[in-house]
Amino acid sequence: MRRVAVLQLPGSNCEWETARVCRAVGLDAEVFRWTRAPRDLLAFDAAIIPGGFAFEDRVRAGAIAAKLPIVEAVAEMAAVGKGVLGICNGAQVLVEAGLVPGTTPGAVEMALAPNAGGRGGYDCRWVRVAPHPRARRSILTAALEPNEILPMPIAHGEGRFTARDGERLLGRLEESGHVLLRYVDESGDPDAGIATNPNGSLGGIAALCGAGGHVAAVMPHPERSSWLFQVPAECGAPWGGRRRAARDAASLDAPGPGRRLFESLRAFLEDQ
Amino acid sequence: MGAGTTAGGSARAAGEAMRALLRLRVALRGEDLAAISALEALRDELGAADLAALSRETVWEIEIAGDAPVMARALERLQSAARESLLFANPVKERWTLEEGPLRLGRAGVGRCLVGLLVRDRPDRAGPACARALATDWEIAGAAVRRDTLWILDLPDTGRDAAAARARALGVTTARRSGLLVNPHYQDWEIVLEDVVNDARAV
Repeated sequence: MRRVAVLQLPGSNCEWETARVCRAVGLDAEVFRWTRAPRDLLAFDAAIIPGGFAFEDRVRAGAIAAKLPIVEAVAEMAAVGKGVLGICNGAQVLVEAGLVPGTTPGAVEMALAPNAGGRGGYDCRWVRVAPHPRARRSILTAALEPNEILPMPIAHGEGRFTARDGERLLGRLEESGHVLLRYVDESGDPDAGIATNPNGSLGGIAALCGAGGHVAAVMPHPERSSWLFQVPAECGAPWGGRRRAARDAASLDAPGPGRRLFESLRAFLEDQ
Repeated sequence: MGAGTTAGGSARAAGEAMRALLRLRVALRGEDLAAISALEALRDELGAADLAALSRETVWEIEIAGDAPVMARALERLQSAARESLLFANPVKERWTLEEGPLRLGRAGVGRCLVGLLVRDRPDRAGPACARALATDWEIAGAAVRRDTLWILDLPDTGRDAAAARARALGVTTARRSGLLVNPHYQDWEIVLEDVVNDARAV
């Protein structure tokens, strides 16, 4: 069984539910405090930096955490091909640490900037994501079908993937399969504007990976949609229909859409 | 702090157009935990043993234009907005000053140099929103407003160019092990030395 460390940084608040979903898909998950010796991390097959507000988002979301020795150990894991996943605040940490998109090792090539468009500010709601047609096989997409639409919640104020040379970088990232997931509407259309792209993210990016597909950053929270009982009844087909049809505890405990990303993580790690 | 200096400008005849560039600076009354965390990260993780202190302010730069009576009324209302509302500062936890002229960083210690790093989000959503509030709630029409964060770094006095370069290296994030205070992918920045604003936005 693959071993996954779920990092608990000062301000993380999703580590236990993230570890719970990892266990549900057959991974051996352990919550790993940032105060432990960084080298202990290297014994794991993968590391997940979960959601939350590391260091209270002081200076910028993820900025201070990205400088921690434990994140240097995460970079070492990435360098040897081990799995590294950042969810929401974890995604912000990986981008600030230069691990995603990682086309120039160590360089910070992007930002997760404050949400733009719409009302801006902190946004907490359900959105839909789907794999980019050119998405490479990765820890987030290894088990996904090409046109799979996955509803899951976002909860962030700084989720806008952006870069100084945005359009040019976007072209390169799409071409090379780094863009894993995009925000889409109910029909899978990624170009429906602010109704589907909740933060003005460049190219509607919801998840990006580094070279090799083993390092990825995703802004929505798959761990908050990994059981059917977490899915809103008013959610569109097919997940909303399944949720409405679930009448008893056992049915509600069935897997939700977010679990598909953790199944990808397991599939990717098992193939390594 | 709390009251402010007034942008006077020279007396001019009524009807003659004037412009005033005002700066409303806001700082926490108590300890600034973000600045403390940033200082610790810079020292402990990025090797900035030479950084003696780091402070942070919010700087609202407000440009007002009009003839003398319009300007006088606008200045009065701007002070009222700062004093009587929460638009710029919460008096329970923050203090403010209203000033004009060159941006002052304070007095450096012997052998030390203060370097400012002005940081602005791109796009700046707060500045235009503040301008709209000034127009609708305080009848200050046509003000141009931008919101910056000013970091002040206390560095060894190794000469202006060297100090500016050191502030840029510590401040501007280009790599995991380099820079903390600005992410240039969505923020503009300027190095500020006393009396000189060195427009050094290119990394």
